[in-house]
Amino acid sequence: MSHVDDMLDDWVDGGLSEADRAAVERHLAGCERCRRGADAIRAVVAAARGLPKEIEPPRDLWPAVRDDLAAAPTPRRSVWAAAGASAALLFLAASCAGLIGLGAVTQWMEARHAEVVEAQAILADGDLPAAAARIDELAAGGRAVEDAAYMAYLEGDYARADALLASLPETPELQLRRAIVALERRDLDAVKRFGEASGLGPGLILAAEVHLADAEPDEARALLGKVEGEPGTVGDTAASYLALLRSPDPYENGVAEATALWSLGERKVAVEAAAELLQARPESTSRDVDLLVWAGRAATSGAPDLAEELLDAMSFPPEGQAWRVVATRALIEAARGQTDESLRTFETLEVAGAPRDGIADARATAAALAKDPESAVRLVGGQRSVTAARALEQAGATYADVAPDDSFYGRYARSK
Amino acid sequence: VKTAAANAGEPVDLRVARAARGDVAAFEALYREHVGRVYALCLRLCADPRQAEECAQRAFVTAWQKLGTYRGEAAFGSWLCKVAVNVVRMDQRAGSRLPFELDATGAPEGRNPTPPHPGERVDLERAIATLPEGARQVLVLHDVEGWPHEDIAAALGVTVGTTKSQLHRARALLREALGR
Repeated sequence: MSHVDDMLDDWVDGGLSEADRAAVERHLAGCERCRRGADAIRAVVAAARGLPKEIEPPRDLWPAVRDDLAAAPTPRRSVWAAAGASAALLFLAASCAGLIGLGAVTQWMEARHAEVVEAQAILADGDLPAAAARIDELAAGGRAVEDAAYMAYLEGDYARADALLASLPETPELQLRRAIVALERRDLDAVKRFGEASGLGPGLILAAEVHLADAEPDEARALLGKVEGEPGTVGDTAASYLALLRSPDPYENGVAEATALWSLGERKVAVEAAAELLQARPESTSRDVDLLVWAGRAATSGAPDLAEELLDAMSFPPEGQAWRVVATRALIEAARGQTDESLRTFETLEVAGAPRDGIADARATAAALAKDPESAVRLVGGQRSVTAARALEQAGATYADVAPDDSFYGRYARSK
Repeated sequence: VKTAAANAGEPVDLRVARAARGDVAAFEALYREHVGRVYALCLRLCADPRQAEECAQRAFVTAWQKLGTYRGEAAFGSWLCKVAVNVVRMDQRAGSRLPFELDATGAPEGRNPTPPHPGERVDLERAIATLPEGARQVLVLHDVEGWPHEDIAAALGVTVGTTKSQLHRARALLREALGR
């Protein structure tokens, strides 16, 4: 056997397999040079281990820490941003999917959220037979107790929904539902527990996102690794997260954390975290893309000022995305209650020939941010789409005119 | 899941819980108990006393903000160190720093002036401080702090293969620097 320099560190640390250890020890028995090498490593390790574990800083840091604490209130899980703004989510999912490939997770969340919003709209109108019919559709193939649980979930009685689900045998699907109920209850520990226990792709992704939000990237990576190869949205989402987490660039790791926070509904914290990361980053095209994405998210999560700051920090609009920069400015204006300004900004976009469907989505998103039903109607601008109907429903305006006939909203509006 | 009480005794658990509810006095007690450990870690990771002070300060502020996510899966001090390592990484990413300089005694400023074996220790600290950044950080976390390779790889965002080769390199450079 030739000299074993490359294995000596692991041998000293006790990190070799039984076979390698035996081989190294056989070699050491007959090699003075490698024995000296091992002794030297042991001496260095012992000296390093003997260094004092505590060193007092040259000055008391507490006064400075205390001052910073006053400016940085502890973010709690209980102060999550309200869910809402589902039209905004759709717009963003569409915006982001092509840009950074992470829209998938938002779309998955949105698909679930859209059903709930629809059924909630019926419940809000007190039309229980219609709600029950919709629920039958949603829980197709489900059992009676499961339907009751779903009903409780739609009514916002999450404790009852969870109790009902807990009374059923623990199937993977059931555990995934409990994770989703826990998400609505803002019980992240339970999201993690049930999501992981389900073993299903969406459950593992939810659990991984909680790990990321808790600054436990290694645990998140382990879970995401299990579903990375799955086909479709789940696999794509896991792969997107893993690409960010495996990057040697700490910024990308930070983006993964912020994205997880966003997906879990902790929008304000997510946007603030992303803004901090972005502002410390040197100028580049990828930074401009990220600035645009997060400016849009800030605009739709109650932080128009931060959104503007992020837009202003861009060095150059990403190729083909200049219209989106303007659309985001219109969102910021709508969020500030400046409906006239927002409408004017949208007009300039139409004149400049921006993609029509993009403008329509942006207008519906702006409508969902409007401060009053009249502004929402003006911002929607007469377009017929599910997004617009949902935005008006959220703003408390009538949506019969804008809902496509073959959509749930259209059918429901006609049935009344 | 182990609790903080099981790891570090109930008094710590209570202070963490109080601090998580916004009790600044409880957090100050935690600061006083752990600042030496956090500063020592930052100083060795940064090899720059001024940057180490900033990072230690920011580590405590970050820990305060993240207290709601600490649920006692590790001892509080170990959790704080993880937070500190992350702060140092972010800091090094964020900006160019002045090159490391030694003070007149040959040791980075701010070291404890009365080590048990002054000569040897100062030599070793100085040798560690002059290692290349990546090798230095792995050596500090593995050999001084006793972290396993898997934890170091996760904290630094690199593979275990990288941390092992960095450790090999760091130890070889140290042996050379110390003439062993």
